[in-house]
Amino acid sequence: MLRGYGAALAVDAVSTLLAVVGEPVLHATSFVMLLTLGALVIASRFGIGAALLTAVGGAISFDFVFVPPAMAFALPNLRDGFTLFVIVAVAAAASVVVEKLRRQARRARRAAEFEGRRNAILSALSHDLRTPLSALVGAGTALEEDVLEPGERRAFSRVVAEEARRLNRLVQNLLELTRLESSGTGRKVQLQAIDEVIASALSRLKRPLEGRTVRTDVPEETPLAPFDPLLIEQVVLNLLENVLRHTPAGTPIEVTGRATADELFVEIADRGPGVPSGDEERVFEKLYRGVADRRGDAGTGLGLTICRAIMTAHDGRIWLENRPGGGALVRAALPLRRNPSVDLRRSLRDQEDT
Amino acid sequence: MNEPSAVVLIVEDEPHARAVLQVTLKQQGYVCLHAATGAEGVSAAIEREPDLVLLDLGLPDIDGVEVTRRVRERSAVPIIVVSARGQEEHKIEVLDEGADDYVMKPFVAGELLARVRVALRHNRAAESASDAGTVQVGDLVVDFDLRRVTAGGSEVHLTPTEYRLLAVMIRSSGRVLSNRQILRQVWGPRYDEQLGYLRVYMKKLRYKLEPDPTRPRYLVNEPGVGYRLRMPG
Repeated sequence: MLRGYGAALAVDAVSTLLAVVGEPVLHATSFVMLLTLGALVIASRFGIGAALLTAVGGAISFDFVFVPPAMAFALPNLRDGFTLFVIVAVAAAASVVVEKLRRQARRARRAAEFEGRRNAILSALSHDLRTPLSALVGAGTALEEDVLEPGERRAFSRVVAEEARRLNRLVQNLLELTRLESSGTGRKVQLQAIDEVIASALSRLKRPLEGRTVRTDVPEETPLAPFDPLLIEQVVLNLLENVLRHTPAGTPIEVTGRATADELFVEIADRGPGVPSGDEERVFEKLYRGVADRRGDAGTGLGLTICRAIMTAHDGRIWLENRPGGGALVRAALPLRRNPSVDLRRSLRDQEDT
Repeated sequence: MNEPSAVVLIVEDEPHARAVLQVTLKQQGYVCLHAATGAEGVSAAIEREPDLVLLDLGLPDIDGVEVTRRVRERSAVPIIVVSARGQEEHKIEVLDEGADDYVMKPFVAGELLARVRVALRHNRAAESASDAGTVQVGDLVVDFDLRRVTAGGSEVHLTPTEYRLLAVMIRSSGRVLSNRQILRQVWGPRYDEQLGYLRVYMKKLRYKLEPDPTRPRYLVNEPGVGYRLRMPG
């Protein structure tokens, strides 16, 4: 911004200098045109504030150089006063137009970035849909043809049920992504209780969590916060599913909700192998897959990417730490003192910067 | 079985989904009727007097909210809505329009049958109009005459608002109530946007009634929709 004002004053200085040096040959109109051109250039580079400074500075110079007595400040007569007014008005109008064009261009660029990012995740997800689908088609056809031994029948039925559940998880993430898009304008969100969202996610994963010790800790005084409960539940679900997938059966899980003065945290900690040192940030990248996926069905590799998209949409953040003593800890933080609206478009856009 | 002769009307346009519902229900001894469109569903719900309606939200002709509204003009039959995640606004609308509960797609048989049993029991309770002096759910007991609440055998002291909230929830136990329905019944119609009140008082109740308030057994939240007082088992 300061650079803009500096440039504005520079344009004024150069125009004035030209006007003073060229005064014997140049008409005052040339100065006015020169100044208008300068204001336009400044508007396109630095916005309306700097452009207005150019115009006002130029008007003062005009007064100094051209309004009689020349080379002195004076109250302008009606004609010169009108010229001064026009200089400022033209600069203002021009910079308003330029500013509008700039905003349009910026919006278009952001929308394109957002679309690109979202499409990349969507196409990766869609690709991943084929894996459970082909298993379903294969197992389903075999069951239909009725050529299987009883043992095989049971095994294939289990394949159908498991792959259908996996397909459901994928589709659910896909739907949350479309929600991210459709609520793009930043809609109002209501006050929610984080313990309820955690409890709901845990109860939806009741069956896969059997055999695990899950310790939950949310202090009674934890404040309410504005967020989209379905999207934040999806974050908790994705994180828990990640833990189930990447840690040995029977190892404990800790789910914590807590608040600081300005953030609300959800933290999920496990006692699995953690992530390779240095990969703590990379795990949030699209299609990152851990080295040791337990059953080879790591799912999408998009779970954490989607978590980050959702958290960014809430002006929040999410990161992973390796725990001392082994295991991974993912912390997701939501801002507490924010105007309660979620700019869901921001999510995928800002991921480009991280 | 539970309601061996209960008649369930399935309003669902998709044949496979209908077949799965039908097999699940018939195995439990229910008698099934079906309708493939909203319009058929409305007339069947009124004319054939089923004991329960299972209503899919994504019908080809009229949407579920309208079906519910039309049925409710003429009949008090319990309606369970079958809908996908992500249709929360829709679910709230249908609940406010008089549907009794919803099941989220994809569901497992146990879940569906539990909802069906609750809805049928409520229907009977409504018919006998027995607003009993005492209601028990699991180890929660509310004595409406004495305004006394016990959890796990010991008496719990509740503030008047907490008591009203628990009373509203336990009268509809097993069923989901939308946030707005609860706010209106407990605080009054001018408070139906004050979600913060509801959340805060739910938490207070949980801390007084639940063994582990962060993993509630009874007062569970349905994200984006409302609350349910879950029946054990």
